[in-house]
Amino acid sequence: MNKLYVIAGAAILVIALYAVFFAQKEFSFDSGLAEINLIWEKQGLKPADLVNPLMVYATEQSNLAELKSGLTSYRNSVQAMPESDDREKIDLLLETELSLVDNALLQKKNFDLIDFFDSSGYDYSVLCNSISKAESLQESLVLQKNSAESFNEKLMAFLESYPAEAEKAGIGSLNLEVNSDEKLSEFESIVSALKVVC
Amino acid sequence: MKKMLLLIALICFLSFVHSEELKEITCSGSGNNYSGVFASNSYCDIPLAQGYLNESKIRVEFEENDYQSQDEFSFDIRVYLMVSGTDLFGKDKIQLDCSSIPFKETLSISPADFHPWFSLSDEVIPYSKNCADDLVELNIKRPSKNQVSFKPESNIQVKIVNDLITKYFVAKFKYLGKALSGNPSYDFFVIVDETPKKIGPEEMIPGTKIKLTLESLKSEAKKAEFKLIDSKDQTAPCLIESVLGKEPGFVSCEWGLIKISWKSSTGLPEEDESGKLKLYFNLEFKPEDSKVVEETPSCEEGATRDCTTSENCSGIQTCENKKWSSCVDVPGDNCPAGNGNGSGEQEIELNDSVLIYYYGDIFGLGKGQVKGFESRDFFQEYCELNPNIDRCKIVLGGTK
Repeated sequence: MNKLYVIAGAAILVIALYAVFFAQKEFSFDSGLAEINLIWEKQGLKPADLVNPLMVYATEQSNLAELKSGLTSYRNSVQAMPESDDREKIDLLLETELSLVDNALLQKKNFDLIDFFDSSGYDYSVLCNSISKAESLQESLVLQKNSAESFNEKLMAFLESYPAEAEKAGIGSLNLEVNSDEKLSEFESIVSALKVVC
Repeated sequence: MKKMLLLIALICFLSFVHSEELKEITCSGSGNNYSGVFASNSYCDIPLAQGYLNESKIRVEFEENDYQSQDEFSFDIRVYLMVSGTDLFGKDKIQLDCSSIPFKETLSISPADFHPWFSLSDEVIPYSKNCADDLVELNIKRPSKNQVSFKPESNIQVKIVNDLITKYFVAKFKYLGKALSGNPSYDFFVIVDETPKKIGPEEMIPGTKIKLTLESLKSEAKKAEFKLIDSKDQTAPCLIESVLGKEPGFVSCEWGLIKISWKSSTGLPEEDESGKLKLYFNLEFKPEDSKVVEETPSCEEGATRDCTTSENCSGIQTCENKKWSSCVDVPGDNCPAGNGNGSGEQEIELNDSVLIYYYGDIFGLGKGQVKGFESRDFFQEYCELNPNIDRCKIVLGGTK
């Protein structure tokens, strides 16, 4: 009887070891990238689209939110996998891409705010009556700047470590434009001035 | 060493000689109305009565032009809004454009090197000019030609609207807000200078160009309305919506047989090498049925004759004004199928073959690259309000 238990235990151990080995062998950078690409394709997007303000403008907020949700969910499952080089690469790639999506979401929010003010044409009472929205835009523009910087830094780090993988993922030459502090300060001053003159 | 010092001294002397400093004069008045008699190369500062930004002012500069003819007297007038309420705005000196471009057009971080220039003759004085979308009004009078002194001594009245400063900040808020968020409406469309060639159906041959005029551009930049102008100056509204949509759109114009679609090779808006938006507009010219279009020799008024409609149905043509009318389907012959009453004019059948593909490029230019406009959004807003102004019309040109 004991022998039977030993044999059964050994069999389970072999199967478990095989499963772990197989799973490790199955997960590669390419297979992870393929999963990521599917998530992007589902929303009709590719990473390069989100460094193009025009495309961000044309993309629905819901698509961006779903994209973020998809990438986050996949990242959680990747992080649950056994550690490996490829898992590390995919995790970093996902972190970088999520940073890009966050930036697009912020940019989209700012576009909407600008459109709100824009629709008033020359009627400045709209802006004067919505100073809190103006402040919100000002704060959000600062966040957008920080977010763009963060993405560029993450991308740079990924590029330095894994240049070939970055090219494969189509993010090798991406770069987000970062607003200068001087311009942001000027905008802040304008909002302050509006509070007084409105 | 001595030579060096001499050279420096010479340069200093020359630059002193050449720099004609403007002399300050006093513009008298109160509230929003001021006036001053300007000698050549003079300026006056008009304080803006505001609780905030107390040092802000309007500066009017008057400068005689070097070239003077006997019967013409010309000078430059420059009007600046100088905002200096905070350290940040300490350097802000904004030239107000007095050539009927709105105030917003002239806002820029660095003042534009644009000098409104007037050439006044006796016939046009006193001269009134609205600067910067009526924010400042200049009334210019100068001594009559008959006076002994035909010298630049001009009386200029300046009228300032109450909310100039508020408008300034609102405009600047929008301008900077758009720029900082990366709003794509900046670089959306461009004026392509090209003499428009107007066409009619008879001119639809390969290589023909057509004038496609931007009627208006919605602020959200998702819609563009176009107007087609044919050779007889007839217009047809065409509305291209969702220009930024992901799938190429296809839209019919009401005029004639032209359809417009926009596309790019990838189906998505493209950017050129400099990052400017490029859209291809594809105009498909489809010929009318030649039997219908072709004018037949004169006929006897009221006469009828059998014909075949474009849907291969029996039809009747009537002679009207010595010309055969278009082929009208015979009523009640159930042809085309489903056309029970058979009344009304037969629709013209279009030949499926596409005669011409015309590609017009609309591509954006960066800020400051469009003639007379410093920024795209200002231009855009300006044109929304003034769609009939010539400079707001966009002409597409070029074939591919």
